[in-house]
Amino acid sequence: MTELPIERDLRDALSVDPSPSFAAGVRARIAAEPGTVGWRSAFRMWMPAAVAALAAVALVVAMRTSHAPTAGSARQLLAGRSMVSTMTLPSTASSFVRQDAPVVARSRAREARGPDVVISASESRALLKLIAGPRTWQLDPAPVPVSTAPPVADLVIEPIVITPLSVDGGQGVRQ
Amino acid sequence: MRTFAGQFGDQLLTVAAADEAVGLEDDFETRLAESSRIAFRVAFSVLRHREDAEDVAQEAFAKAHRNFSQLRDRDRFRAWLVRMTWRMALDRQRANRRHARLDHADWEARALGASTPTPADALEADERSRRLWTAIDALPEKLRIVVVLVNIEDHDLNEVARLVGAPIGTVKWRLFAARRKLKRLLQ
Repeated sequence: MTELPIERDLRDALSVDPSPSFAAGVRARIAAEPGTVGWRSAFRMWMPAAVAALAAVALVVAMRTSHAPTAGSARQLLAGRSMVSTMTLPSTASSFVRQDAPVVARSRAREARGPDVVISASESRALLKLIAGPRTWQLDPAPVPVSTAPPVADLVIEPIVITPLSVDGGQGVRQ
Repeated sequence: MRTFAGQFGDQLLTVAAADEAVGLEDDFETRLAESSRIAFRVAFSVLRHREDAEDVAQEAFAKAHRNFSQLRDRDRFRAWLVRMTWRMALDRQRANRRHARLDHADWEARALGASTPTPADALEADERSRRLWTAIDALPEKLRIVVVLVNIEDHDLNEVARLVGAPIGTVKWRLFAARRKLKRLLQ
């Protein structure tokens, strides 16, 4: 469809230009906006602070990284603890202590691997059987029968006799 | 600890950022010079009041300045500004309903040329103006902006398609529909 006559009127009506002070008005409006400064001054003001803040954050992260316990150090610490516990406690008790002790770094790998075996497999099986016995009625909870062996004779303690010291014994006398 | 190279790199980044800020400012000044006229005309097509149109167009530029650094594709600034100005002008029109105050002085001077208008000519121009804007205002918004931009941009349909963010086929169809509706309204 070709142009309508009214469009010529529209084109004429819209061929208006802004006033010569239009651009100045825009700049004045931008400058007058509350809390708005030019990009140049904003960068001058904030860039040093931003760089300093980033440097501080990087420093803190670097320090934390250097002091944080690594997986290797955690493993060594755990190994040290297990050595102490196995040396000072009975083997069955040490296995419980190892599982309940506060672990410094309980990593996923360690949890997937399971607890370290510090007692023999047969001893562990026997212990588990002992614990599970009463539950499954495989262990007879009846009291142990009284032994038929003769009772031990009463222990006789003879009185202690202290002999008095003799006068001529020479105690304290230089010989 | 940061090495000297790291600190030097930060300094370079700071200088580069400052340069970029200066570049943004210069870029915006260029866009302001290029797009002042179309922003004003778009606002004027809605408001038909010179002071209001300037006010809205300036406000649109100020808003564009606030978000200019976030505009990824600077080539789309003109389209972005036009759409923003159009929306702001419609908001202003709804807010104050001053569109009834037509800028008769501008209209009559352009419609009648440099000749001194007689009372009869002035009356005729006034009637033409009233009919024109009544018909334009009766168009749906999507058709209206196409008609306005086609007449601002001297029928460059590719540019109009870029400005409204629609395919050229859609623009052609909207222009056709707008003209058909205008013809019906003016009969």
